[in-house]
Amino acid sequence: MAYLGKIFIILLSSILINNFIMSRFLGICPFLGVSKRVSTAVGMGAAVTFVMAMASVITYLAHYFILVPLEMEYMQTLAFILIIAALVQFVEMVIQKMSPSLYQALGVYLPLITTNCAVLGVAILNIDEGYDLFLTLINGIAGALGFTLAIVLFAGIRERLEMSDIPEPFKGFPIAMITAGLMSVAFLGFQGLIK
Amino acid sequence: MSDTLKMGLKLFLITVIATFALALTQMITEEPIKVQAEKADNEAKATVLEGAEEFVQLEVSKETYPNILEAHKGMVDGNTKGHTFKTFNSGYGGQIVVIVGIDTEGTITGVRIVQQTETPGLGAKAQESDFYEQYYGKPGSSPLANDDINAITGATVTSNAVTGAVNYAIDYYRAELVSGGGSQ
Amino acid sequence: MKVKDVLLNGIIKENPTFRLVLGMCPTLAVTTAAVNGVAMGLAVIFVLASSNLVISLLRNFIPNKVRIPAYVVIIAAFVTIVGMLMEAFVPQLYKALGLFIPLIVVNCIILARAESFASKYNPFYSLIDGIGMGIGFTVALTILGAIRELLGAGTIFGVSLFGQGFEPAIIMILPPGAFITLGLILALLNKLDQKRQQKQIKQA
Repeated sequence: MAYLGKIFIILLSSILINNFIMSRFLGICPFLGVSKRVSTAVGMGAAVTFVMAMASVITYLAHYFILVPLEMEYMQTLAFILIIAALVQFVEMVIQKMSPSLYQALGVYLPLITTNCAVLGVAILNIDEGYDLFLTLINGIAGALGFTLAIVLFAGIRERLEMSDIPEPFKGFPIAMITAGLMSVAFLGFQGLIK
Repeated sequence: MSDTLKMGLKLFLITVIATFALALTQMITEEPIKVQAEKADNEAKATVLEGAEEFVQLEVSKETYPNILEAHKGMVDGNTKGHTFKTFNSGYGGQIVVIVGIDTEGTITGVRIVQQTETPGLGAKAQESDFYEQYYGKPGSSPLANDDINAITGATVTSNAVTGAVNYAIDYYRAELVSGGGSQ
Repeated sequence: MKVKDVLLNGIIKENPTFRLVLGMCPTLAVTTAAVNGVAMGLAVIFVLASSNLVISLLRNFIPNKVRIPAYVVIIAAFVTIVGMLMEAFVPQLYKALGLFIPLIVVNCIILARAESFASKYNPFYSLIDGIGMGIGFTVALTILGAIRELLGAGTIFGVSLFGQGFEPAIIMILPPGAFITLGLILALLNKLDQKRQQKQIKQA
């Protein structure tokens, strides 16, 4: 029961309370770059969810079965980023072979995921928090769902913004930043949810 | 030699050199990192249990006390002065590690936050004396309630987490040390 | 190409934060206080200058097809080194920056400079470009950190400016403050740019 409760708290906390974008500031580059259309935002979210879930599991295994026995924990950053880069490349190849239509839809975003710090961030957080393999997977998926939620909502607002009359100096990044700030205020409201 | 193989070899070579450089830095910095951590720990122990000159580590069962990282008996001239406990609890932004001192009378003699990632200006104020000095002189005979301590404005979670961490030390003190007449 | 131009390019004309809008994650996350901005900036200067130098030296050795993984390995190595050095010699700062030290690896500024500058120019210019970009990043983070610290906690570099009567706007050091402050700074820079352009048009 306690374990189930833990799963629930991780889900709630990673999706809403400690949302990767809105309160942890992980994955801001794709958040700003790929959020002009809702449809592309959904695609990016799906690709990130897939990569983050897989990266969480593989980096977990690499950490506990390779780095720890060899006493090379200091290689963590280097090993993790290589794993993520290789994983992204691999996912790209598989999707291209298996489902060309999905590849067409996601293709452009896949290489970008390597430099999405949310992926490396979640891998390091899993180890820091001492999660076991299953909780690691849950945290990876929950973090990615939180990312998707934020980027899709944000894209929805930006689509509308395009039709609004914005003062000249605020066009582009400035208004995007301020919008994100206001969304972040909303996400702050989730903080009383636990405890 | 095929191009792919050559490419792979070159990449491998770069990785090997990078690994080597890291191993070298690790060897150089391992000692100072350990020394720094120990120094910070010893300073914290000495401030929370004033007067104690020597600290003997106690064996603490991880099963019964999962939140106690270390426990030490503080001695001066062969007499026990009290105990220090390094405990942790989940705060708002991650783990908060505190060191708590409890003297042989069962009074809390000091609290220091040694590690935290709370919000600067809010939860991070737990490191200021205005907050942690509230614990001084409180009896270790029963767990503290959250209301015993004035929470930092806007950072109730952090304040309660610190109180929780102090209570882990009190739990150990009550269960393991009071029954032995406090002289153990 | 003049050394001074390469150096100033990163600080002013192509300031990575205010002009290129790169490396936003650490920019927003660590700028809760001015001193954190300075520390993060210094760590990035070190990584950026060293990785630019090494990548430039190896630019004919690294095969084009695997250049991204190769760059990533080199950058990750320097990031880990800077992390270990900070933990050993400035443990307080290391703790304050936390997760964001390893995340320098995925700071897009570093990979972007490797790709667009270090892989094309000689080691000396690459080193200067790394230092210039790093300084630009540091300046931006320090300004942002100082504004947020001043409004959110009433201090700058920990020194109280307004005395007891000042009621800090806590929201400034919470996540929304980061987005909003940066948004306003970017808008201000756009406005100044516009004014300058209008002036030029008038003169012409």
